[in-house]
Parts: sequence; C-alpha cells; structure tokens
Amino acid sequence: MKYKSVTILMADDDPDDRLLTEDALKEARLANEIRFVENGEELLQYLRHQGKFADKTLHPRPGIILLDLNMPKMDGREALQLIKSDPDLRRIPVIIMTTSKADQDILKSYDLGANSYVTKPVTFDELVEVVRGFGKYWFEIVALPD
Amino acid sequence: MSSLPILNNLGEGEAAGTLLIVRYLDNKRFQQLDGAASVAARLTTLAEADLQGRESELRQGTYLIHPKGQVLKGYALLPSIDGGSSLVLAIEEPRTIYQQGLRSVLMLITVLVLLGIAAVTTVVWLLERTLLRRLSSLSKSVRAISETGDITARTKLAGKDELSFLSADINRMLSSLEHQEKALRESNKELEQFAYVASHDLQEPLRKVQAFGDRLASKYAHQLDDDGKLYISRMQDATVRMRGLIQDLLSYSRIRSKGQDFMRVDLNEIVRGVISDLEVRLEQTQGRVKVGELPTVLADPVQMRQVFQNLIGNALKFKKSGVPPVVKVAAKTKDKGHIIVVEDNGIGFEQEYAERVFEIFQRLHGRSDYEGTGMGLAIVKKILERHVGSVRAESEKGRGTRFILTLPNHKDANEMVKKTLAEDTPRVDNQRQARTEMEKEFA
Repeated sequence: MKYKSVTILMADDDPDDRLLTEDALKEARLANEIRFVENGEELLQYLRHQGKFADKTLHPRPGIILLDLNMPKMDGREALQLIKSDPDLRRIPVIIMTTSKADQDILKSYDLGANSYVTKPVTFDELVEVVRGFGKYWFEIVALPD
Repeated sequence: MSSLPILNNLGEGEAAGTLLIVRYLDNKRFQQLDGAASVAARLTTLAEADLQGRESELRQGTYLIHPKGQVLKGYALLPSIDGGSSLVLAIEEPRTIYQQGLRSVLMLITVLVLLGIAAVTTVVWLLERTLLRRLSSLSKSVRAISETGDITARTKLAGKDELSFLSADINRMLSSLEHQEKALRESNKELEQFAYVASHDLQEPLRKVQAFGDRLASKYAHQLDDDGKLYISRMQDATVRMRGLIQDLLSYSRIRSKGQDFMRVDLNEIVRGVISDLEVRLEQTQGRVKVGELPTVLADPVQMRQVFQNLIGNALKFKKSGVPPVVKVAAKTKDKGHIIVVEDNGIGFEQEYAERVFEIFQRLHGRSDYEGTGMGLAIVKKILERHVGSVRAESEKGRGTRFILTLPNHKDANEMVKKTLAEDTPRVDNQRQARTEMEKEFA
C-alpha cells in the first residue's frame, strides 16, 4: 500500500528526459505516479503548494524527488539547498539525476544533502535499469517518512 | 819630454849623440792649469789615449774630440820641441748638458710612458664601463631568457647608445613574442574550452537520438519492414560512432585541463597493465608484445597508460592479415631523458603521412577496414606534449611502424613540467631541440 502511495516528482527542464523517464518507469513496471516541474522555482512552488500547484489533491506531496542540476531560472543546486534547509521539506529524499559527471557537482550535491547522485544513462535500457534499481531501493528496501 | 838624435848640420850622417829636451810640469802646475781651464787634463802616451784609430788625424794636427758615454774626451798632440810627438794631452769633461739632455729625454720618455699607461687604462676603464660591462650584462640577460624560456623577463640597460637601443629592441621583440604567446595560449585555451563545451553539449541531443532510436527499435520494430529496421540500425550505428568521436574529443580536450599531477610511474608496470587489458585481442590475433627494460618516469599514470594503450592497440589493430602481430617496446635512457620505441610488424603507411597521423580525426583507412575515430595518436601526441616529451613516427607501407617517444628525465621533468604547468603551453622548440639531440645519441 505504501508502495502505491509514493509520488515521484521530477524536476527537469528537458522534455525528452521527462518523456523517457516516464517511459522507463512504465518499462520497469513501477506503478508510481510521476509529476513534473521544469525548474527549481516551480519545484519549490510545487512543494509549498503555491501558485498553480495550490491544489493538494492534484499535486500530492512527493515521496521522492528526482532533481536535475542544470535548469533555467533556479538550478538544482539552489533548489536542493532550499529544500534541505526547509524543516518541512528536508525529509523528502532527493536523487540528483544529471548529465554531469564532474567531481565538484557530485561532492557539492552530497554536501548540500542530496540522498543519491545518478548520472543520466546513455541508452534507454540503462535508464530502465536505473529506474528499476532506485524503485527497488527507495520503494521496497528503504522506509520512507510518511 | 822629447829626444832628438844629434846629427850634422845637414841633418845627415851618424848620430853624434842624443838631445834630450825636458819641460818640467809638476803636479802643482797641472793643478793650476786644471783650475784655470776647469778641465781635467792629463798627459798620456799616444798608446794610452783612446783614439779609436784616429791617430793619423791627430798627427796632422787636428784636435780630436769624441764623446764617450757621459764624458767628452778631447785629445791634442803635444808637439815636442823637435816637432815629433809622443805625448797626448787628454781632456776629459763630464758632459753635463748631454747628461741633462739625456735625463730630460729619459724623463720625457718616462712621462710619455706613464701618460700612455694612464690613457690606456682610462680608455679600457671607459670601454669596460660603457661597453663591455653593459655588453656582458646584456648578453647575460639574453642568455638567461633563452635558458629559462621566460619571455616575460626584460633586459635592463639604460642609456642612449647603440647598446641600449639594442637592449630596447630585444625587449620590444620579447614583448611581441610574449604578446603572441599569450594570444596563442588564449586561443589554445579557447579551443580546448570549445572542444570541451561542444563535446559536452553535443552529447545531450545525441543521447536523445540514441534513446529514442532504442525506443523505436524495441517498441515498433515489429511494425517495420526490413528497410525500416535497417535504417534504424544504421542510425544506431551512427550514434554509437558519434558518441565515440565526442568522447575522444572530450578526452583530448581534457588532457591538459583535467590531467592528474605527475608522480613516479614505472612504465614496466604500465605496459604490463596495458598488455593484460589487451589480452583478448592478443589471443584473437595470436599477437605478442616483447617488452624490454623500461624506465621509471615522472608522469601522469593514467595518461601514460593511455599512451601505451593507444600505441600497442594500434599495432594490434593495423596488423598484416595472416601475420601474427609482434610489438616491441624498448627504451634507452640518456642524460637528457628517455627514448621509448614502440615498433610493430603491421601494415605500416607511407612516410609522407608520418605527421598527419597525429592530427585529430585523421584516418588513413576506410571505416569498414579499420574501426576507430582517428583520435588515438592525436591523444598520444597531446599527452606527450603535456609531459614535455615528443612522439614521431617512422613507417614504410607493408613494413611496420616505429613510434619514437621521448620523455625528459626526473630532474629535468620536474623543472620543465613546473614551467609548462605555469605557462600551460608546450615549449615546442626546446622539445624539438632536446629530441634531436637525444636521438642523435640514440642513433
């Protein structure tokens, strides 16, 4: 039951990546609902139910956040910092999912409190594997806060 | 005193006796004479007088005067009463004027010599000061610049003569060199930056092409005819190739910017590692790698591994069909550094391509014959340049290829690398020079 209830919120400005991730979720047979925002600003608005995300039933609080680092307006680093310094939001696990393999991005992300760091896979099959992997880990093995 | 024979009045006949005529001049008288004439006179016999063979002149009644050293000597024949002569009045007078003259001449010469010495000293001092010292200071600074290669240094020579103009010209030349080098460095950096950004950003859309291609192939392949499937597979091959190109370009642009610090690297170990990585290919091709004793160098271990991976990998790739590849890796260490030769018995290439093979994306063969992006040797070259070394190729079509690598030895490497890191630009001329010198020794 708990498995079903976890909503994934993905913050990524790239529509292709959003589409592919959604596809990969299906391919991995994860029945989780996934919602999308396109930048850090929207992410924070969603989490705080502000503006167009005011409706809590249409925009349920996510159990996990997939966060891209490089986005317009507010990038993932800043959003991560804001989430992790917000006592209400800091418990939501944040998985960084980005193309960057740079050491400094990885270190900075963990320093800011990221829970995982994944480099976007090259092929679709690899993406499915990654999604399946973190689905198993985050939704089956790990106990998430309600 | 004189004597005369007494003859008859005709002056003939036998002598009847001898007439002795004596005039007495005592010492007192002589002294009086001396005093009166202020001359030192003395009587001597003809034989005693220093007449220098001029006796006949004296006999004819001439007074003889001749200077002898510091003394003026005069001689007069004292005629005896009978007109004969046997005594000579010799007067010896010290030559005071002559001596004074002599002294003045000596003095003059001394003064002239002293003046000469003073003049020469002055000229030399002036020369030294105005020219030689400045010249040597100029040549010292020019030498220092050429040795350290520090073209930001300047010669310091004030003044308004040709030398200071020369110094200013040298400085101007250095400035323009520095300017050019800076521009070159910036353009290099920009290129690297560009290659990095381009290849980084190019990966993004490519990833999508690949991912959607995968989706198309896995979801809709059954709806496509053979042509459609072929197109998809061609597209997927192309994206794989493109990815290879981009990744090679990315690693090429990262050689300088993302390299590790240098450390002691045992090349024997590196080559062993490479051979074990290539084990499968060695087995497939029945190839062998013969490795001589290799040196320990100061280098980036990952990049050194890449160098041997690319060179030995190439040797196995470009093998003659039906001939098991044999790769020899040997090294020789000289004062100036190490020379490492990687030699194969493969297909080789015409020597005219020996430089082109190191250019980026250069391929000498069709893709269907030999796979690869044409970046391998460009990467090798760039890595060696980062290590202040060099690489060149010797080859003959059908006879295999020799790659000759040079790397500076530890001591120099430390220095050179520090310099290169500071400047971020390889000193091509120095390298080339060091390389040819080393190779001469090697040959």
